[in-house]
Amino acid sequence: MAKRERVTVDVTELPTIVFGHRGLLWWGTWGFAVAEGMTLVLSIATYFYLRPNFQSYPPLGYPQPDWIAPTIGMALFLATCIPAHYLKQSARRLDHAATNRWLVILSVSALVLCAVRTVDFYALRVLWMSSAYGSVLWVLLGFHGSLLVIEAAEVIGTTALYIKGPVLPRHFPDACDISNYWYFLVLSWLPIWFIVYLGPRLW
Amino acid sequence: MTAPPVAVGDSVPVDDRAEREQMTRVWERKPGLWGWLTTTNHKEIGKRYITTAFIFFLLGGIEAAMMRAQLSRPENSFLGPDKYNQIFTMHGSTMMFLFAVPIMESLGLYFVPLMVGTRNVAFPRLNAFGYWLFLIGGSFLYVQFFLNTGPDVGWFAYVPLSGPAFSPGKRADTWAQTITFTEIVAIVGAIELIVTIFKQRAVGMSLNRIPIFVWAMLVTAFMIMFAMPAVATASMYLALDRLVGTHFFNPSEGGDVLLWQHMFWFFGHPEVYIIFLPATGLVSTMLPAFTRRPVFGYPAMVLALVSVAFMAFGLWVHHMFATGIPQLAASFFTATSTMIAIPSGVQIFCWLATIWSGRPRFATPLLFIMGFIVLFVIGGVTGVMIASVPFDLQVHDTFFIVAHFHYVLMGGAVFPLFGAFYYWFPKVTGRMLSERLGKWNFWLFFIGMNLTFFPMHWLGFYGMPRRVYTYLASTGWGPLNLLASIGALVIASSVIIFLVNVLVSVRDGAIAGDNPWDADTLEWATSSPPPPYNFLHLPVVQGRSALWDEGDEHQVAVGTSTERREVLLTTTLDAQPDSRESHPHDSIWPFAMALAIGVLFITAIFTALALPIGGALALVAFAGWAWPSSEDVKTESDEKISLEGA
Repeated sequence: MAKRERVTVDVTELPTIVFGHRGLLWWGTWGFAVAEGMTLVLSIATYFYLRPNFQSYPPLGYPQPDWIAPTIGMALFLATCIPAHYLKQSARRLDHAATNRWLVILSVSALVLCAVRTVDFYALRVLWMSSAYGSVLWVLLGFHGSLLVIEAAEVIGTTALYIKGPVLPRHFPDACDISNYWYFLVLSWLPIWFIVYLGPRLW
Repeated sequence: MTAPPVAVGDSVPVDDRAEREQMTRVWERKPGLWGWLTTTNHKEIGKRYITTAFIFFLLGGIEAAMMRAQLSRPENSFLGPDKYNQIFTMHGSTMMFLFAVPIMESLGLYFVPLMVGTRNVAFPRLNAFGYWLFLIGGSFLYVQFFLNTGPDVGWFAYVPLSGPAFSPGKRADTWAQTITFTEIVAIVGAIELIVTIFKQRAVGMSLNRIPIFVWAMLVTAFMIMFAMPAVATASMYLALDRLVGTHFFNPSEGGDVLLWQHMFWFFGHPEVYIIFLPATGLVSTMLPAFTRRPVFGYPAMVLALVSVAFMAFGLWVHHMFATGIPQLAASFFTATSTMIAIPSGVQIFCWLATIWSGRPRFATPLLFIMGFIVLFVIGGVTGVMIASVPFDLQVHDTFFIVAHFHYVLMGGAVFPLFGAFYYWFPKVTGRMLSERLGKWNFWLFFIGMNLTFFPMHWLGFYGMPRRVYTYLASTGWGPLNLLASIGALVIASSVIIFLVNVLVSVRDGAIAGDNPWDADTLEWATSSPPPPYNFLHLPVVQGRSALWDEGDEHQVAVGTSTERREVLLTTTLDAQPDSRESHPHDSIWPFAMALAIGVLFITAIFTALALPIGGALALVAFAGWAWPSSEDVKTESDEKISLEGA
């Protein structure tokens, strides 16, 4: 025999679009960032685990990685936090035109950074099959690079959606979460850039 | 768009047919094959996951039976050495990656939304994608096996054995890519569970009121997010070493073979708890129904779950005692390995206290719980023994270890799982399993388990190594091996009885009703099987034992849409109502995305062209997935937006 039901809560007046940690996508975005971040942490751990296997670093016969071009790339990467920030602000204001504009700028930035990443690979001055030293450097860049390429595809796809439509109200919190993930990409690149390009010169 | 049928304080007619029909129209899947391929309902996906994982359990069981047949007498020729290597690798890989983790996660994906009182998981399309990818990954492993390209390097695939120098061909690549499939599946499932538990709980179900199974799944999901990347990364290093000539595990070029063991066991030991913690959650959630009291020591149980999860990441090196690690490290990992017995012991004493102070009713699920406690304690005690380095060095890679981890994993996870099948089968199918066959199932399983694995302790002491396809009669290992093989037959007969029970009961079992066990968690507040929308009116929770604490009236929340799919989001800690979020429609794109990723991973073993081809296919699927459909436009154009917290 089913129990009698009594209504004690009415949620009719609640909003249907919310931002930040109140929504599902924010949690999902950071969930993936944590799992992917763990992959990057383990790759960095691999770098330090293998390093004592070489008497000198870089190993004898390999030149130091070039640091100037990757550092300029790093500065560019940091600079993209500006469009990411304004993208988030525009989306929070539900400003379609401004969100659209900042998405276009972030898309172009993402494409430029993908090109910069190829320069970063050249700057390593070692191939992946040369030694474990080369292997771990290529994997560090490759892991992060694959996240960058996938995010670039998402930013460009969202930009296309904003240009062509239909843009739905939920796409504003989505744009905010693109910014959040972009910050993760930039922040996670900082230690890799430091370890790969500056590390061998500092210790 | 949304009109609550009644106001706060009103009684609601329990059998509101018109409202049920409307909700069914909104939430049910399309008919036919298209609907089957496109559904995103957590119960349909969950049932497929459970069924698929159970089929893998049967396949892994057949492989185990083949090994036992081979070892039943000295110098047997039933399996040759090459086939034996493949069979034990398939058995371990299947049981760990295709059965144990997926079936625990799939139980979570089926029951967590029901237990927390919501209509579906967060990210239902991701859930469908995860299932299809799991099916493709598991099928890939078995297709390769039947083509004689099955892996033969053990479920741990140690280098240098699995590296390019000692494993030419594609067998080890098959293993590495299967791992990549299953890790992605596990991680997406974990994220769905975490978000569902944090954001979609029923009003009033604060974190200190959620069922312990839900706590266990939450803790497990976090463990998955931190553990699985380790094996995914390691298997990618292995694939790169084998396919493109990197040197991660090649000592002559600065690589290190122990790097593999560190990364594998940094995943591998938490993996044991990723399998075991959900099982403890199952036990804690089933026990109240059979002891007629809430589980003893809820806060201690939850703290035990959380502390086990943390400790599980600090003892992986006890798998590597034989590799010659520094003495200080050996002492540290001995200490942490022993320490984890403390929270596990807390759980066991809480269960015993629950049974002791309750009024136990020895139905089949409780029998399996009792069996679990006995077997897990035996496995736990031998675990503490091998935490000691001198002892471990004596029994390392012997059958003692095989005995130990089967007591832990079969006793600690498979027994609760079978108990759970008996307990929740009525909810999933609407019919009861036969108690008589259930008792046969339990006793044969319990006897068979002990017959098979207890003698292996002695075989280990007598020096029989693991992973050998035969032995000489002069070793004297024959009689104990024969006993173990007879035990395997008994286990097989028990599983056959279970299958018969399921096949008969699903058609002719007694009608279950909504709550046949008079249990206290929310899944029993809806019909058996549950409707596509789970609850006509979302429940409001009054206490930890939701159905026992509410008295004669079932309190509900109204006001979510009956015109479109919508879920109620609540605050993370206190589960106060926060927003109503539009819920995705069914879609073919998760299936398409899984196919694209499948093409990418599988062809990557054979050609570098996999990347552009698979990547392009995945991009197309991603665009289809994310681009709003006309149905989205119709149902999502009239939203109420809140900028608070933006």
